[in-house]
Amino acid sequence: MTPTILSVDDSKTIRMVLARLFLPFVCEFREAANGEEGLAVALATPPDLILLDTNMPVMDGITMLRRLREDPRLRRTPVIMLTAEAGCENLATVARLGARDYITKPFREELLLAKVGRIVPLVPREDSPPHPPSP
Amino acid sequence: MTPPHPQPGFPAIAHLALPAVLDSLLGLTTTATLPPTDSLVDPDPPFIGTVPLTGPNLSGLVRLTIDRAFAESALARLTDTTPRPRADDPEVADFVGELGNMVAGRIASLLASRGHACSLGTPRISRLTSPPTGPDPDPDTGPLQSRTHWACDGHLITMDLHGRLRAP
Repeated sequence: MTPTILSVDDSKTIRMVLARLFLPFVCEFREAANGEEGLAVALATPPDLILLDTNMPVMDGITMLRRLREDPRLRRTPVIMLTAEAGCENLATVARLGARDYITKPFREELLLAKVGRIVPLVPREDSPPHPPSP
Repeated sequence: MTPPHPQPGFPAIAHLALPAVLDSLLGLTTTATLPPTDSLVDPDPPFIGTVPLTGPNLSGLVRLTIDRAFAESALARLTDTTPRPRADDPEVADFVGELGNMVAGRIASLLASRGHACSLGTPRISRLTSPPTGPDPDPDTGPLQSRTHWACDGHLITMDLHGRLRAP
């Protein structure tokens, strides 16, 4: 079964980077620009993994994570938080809310793929070229 | 007697953050350089990304000034696309905001390690000739603590770090 990965980030740059990163793998990549949109997308089609930014307008990532955990359909959906700040307080909060992991931006692509690969299978597409290395 | 909130060393923090982020993000070397001497008006003014910092005993902001050519080239590098002669303003602005966010995040981590925890506000993007977009930063961001100029991939980046310690 093709895994679905949902990226929730207000930065189009980050969503573009992630879309490119997962292009060589058999997966469906979806995007949302804030927590509110992310919840709507996740409710419409529950993803296998959510990559969730913390600091966003409209609804931030921590609020979205809290809402996910309150919803019986989504409470078990694995979440990896993407954060620009490695503050202990934030990390403690997301751990308490059940985020599976976190990664600090800017991230090394290999590290992100390794963390994602522990949660969903990342099978290379047959027609995809080898993944280019991170800068 | 030791003050309850010692100075965090803003200049040292400023020198650590930007090169580390550009190295991790783009694999680019960044070196400190002299301020620009050219006072001519730039026909394509640089983008300015401003990110507020707010904590229990500190407020401040990080401001990056970046020219379009660097932002376009960095964006193309990040997304594995060919640099376009002129990327859309919103795309360039988004990149500048995200870079500002990452640099401010690094600064926030360094401040936290020195006992000054703080959170990031929403990035605000402006250009020298146009009104800012996004929310205004907290006016209580304190004085300029550090202004540094950096050469990266043949372009100039200027970073300002404002900060003010206050009683908790």
